[in-house]
Amino acid sequence: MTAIAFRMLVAALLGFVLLPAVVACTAAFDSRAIIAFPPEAFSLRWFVRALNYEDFRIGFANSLFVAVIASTLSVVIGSGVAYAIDRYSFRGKVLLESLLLAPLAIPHFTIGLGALIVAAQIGQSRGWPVVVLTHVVLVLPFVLRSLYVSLRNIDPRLELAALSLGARPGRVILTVTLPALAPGLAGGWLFAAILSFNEFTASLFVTAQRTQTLPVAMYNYVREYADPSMAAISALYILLTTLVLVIANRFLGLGRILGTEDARH
Amino acid sequence: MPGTEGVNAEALRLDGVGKSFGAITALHEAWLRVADGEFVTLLGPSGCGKTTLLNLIAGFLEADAGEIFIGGKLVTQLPVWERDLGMVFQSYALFPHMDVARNVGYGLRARGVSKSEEATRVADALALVRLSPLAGRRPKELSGGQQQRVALARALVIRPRLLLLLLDEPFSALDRNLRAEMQIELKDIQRRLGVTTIFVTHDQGEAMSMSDRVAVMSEGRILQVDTPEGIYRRPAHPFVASFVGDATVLSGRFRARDGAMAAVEAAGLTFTVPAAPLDGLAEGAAVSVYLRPEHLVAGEEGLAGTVTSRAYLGDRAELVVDSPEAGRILLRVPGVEALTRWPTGAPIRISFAGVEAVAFPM
Repeated sequence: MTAIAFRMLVAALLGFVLLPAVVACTAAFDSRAIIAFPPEAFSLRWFVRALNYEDFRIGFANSLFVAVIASTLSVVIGSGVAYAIDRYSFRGKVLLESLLLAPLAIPHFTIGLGALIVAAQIGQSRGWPVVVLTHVVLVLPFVLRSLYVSLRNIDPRLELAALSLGARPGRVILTVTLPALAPGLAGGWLFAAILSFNEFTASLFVTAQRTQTLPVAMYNYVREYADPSMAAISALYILLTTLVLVIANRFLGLGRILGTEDARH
Repeated sequence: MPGTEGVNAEALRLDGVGKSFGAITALHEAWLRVADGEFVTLLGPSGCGKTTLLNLIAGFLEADAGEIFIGGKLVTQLPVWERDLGMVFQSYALFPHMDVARNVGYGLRARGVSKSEEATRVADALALVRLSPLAGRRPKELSGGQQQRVALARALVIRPRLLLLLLDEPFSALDRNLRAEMQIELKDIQRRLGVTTIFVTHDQGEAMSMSDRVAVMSEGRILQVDTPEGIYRRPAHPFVASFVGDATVLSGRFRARDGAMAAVEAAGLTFTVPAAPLDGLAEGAAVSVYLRPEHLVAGEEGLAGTVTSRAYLGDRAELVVDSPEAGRILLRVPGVEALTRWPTGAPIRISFAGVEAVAFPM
């Protein structure tokens, strides 16, 4: 009996978590021009409309562009900072560490607003740099965490062994440290890309018409229309993210991406 | 091999090498000379400074004092990668993303050796450790013993110009039978290649069975450097006498010196001991007398006592005897004899006829 009760509890929890996504995705297949649940007649017209809508297409391309650049930059900056935090001690290390690893303390709209003010001051408020750099600030902590865990998982003796075999420090980093770090780098990059791709609040402040990302384009759409295109886009979003995660899991292992594997013994 | 070095070239020389970490002195001035081709073990308990000394030789740590010479060349200031060492770590430290052959060839690639030469030398090294069929495997697909051999091949393949191979407690992760096998194999390879080896261990059995000489360390000092026999039979320091092998310690009095030997008295008996550790003692000065359990004979004659505990080990047994005159005495007897004659509580007499004792000032 307790087993059945437990299963029901798990099912209820799953249902609770998945309900909004399920409702939105189901609504996308409705033929009517309103977002409603349950749908009355099956249709794919809103998918067609979503995929053909100019603002969504531009927004998707922009989001992809921002996500790729921002996550690449974060991985480059993050690996340097993570290496420094892991291997060296310096003044302000603890402060830097806690600031970078505690992103939740600062709300996204604050970061977006701040970035907008700074960008306006230097006359850059309509360009790509402010969007990309805002996203870097937002995702860096997550990248850093992923890299930090990967670095701590590397046996320091690997590097000592390489040095003792005659390899210079630069060569050791390229041939031993980086390959050992590769899953962390890939995982961190992916994590950053997904977060950036989904980011809305800060993007709302820093994007202009030309630079608006997909979530911002969706928000603008919703302000004017209430048809199921939004639901269709949501379904596509979920599909895309799931695909990326499944592929990543296949090649990297989610445990490693999320940094849930054991820390250094 | 360059032919310019003499037959008795010095592979390693430590001239007063010291290291402190803050207020803690990890290594007091260490002096050591290791001849070419020699197998020398640094033996001591955890925290005795042996790993610090190894790290100083390897260049992972910088010495605060003294100089280190490898192959006659001053290396104190030289970075790790220019010291030309082969090193096998306790955890093997194989590169997980490379197969066995790539692991073994790492040091060759770092030296810019050509691809064809790398292939030949890697194949030779793998043949030496009998792992040729596993060249394409990843480290995690190998057993502990196999990983150890890969680590050994990786360290040997670079033919360290200065013929110095450092081992950092390499056997402690293996099970007992494999350990013995690896010890024999390593010793055999070491002898065939004539590679100078510094070995770090806290296991005196490993140290005694493999080394040409043993350096016993305690609390950051090298207390004695001698052959395994010298360490065991002629310990120069009370720590060496009690750390290497088992010993019964009796309190006694210094009596007289006679050339290289001296007479001491303990438990109503007179023992002849090496005089060197007792230099400068006056007659009647308090000394500790160290006796090896295998030299004591249990029987019907000698010092009387009672068996207080018996540890049966199969071929032999270890008895602890309590004697009114001498206190606690440890001795070893054949296993069968212990079962039949010396149960706990049995009266016993101990003869000291064949004893090789040593004594130190108290």
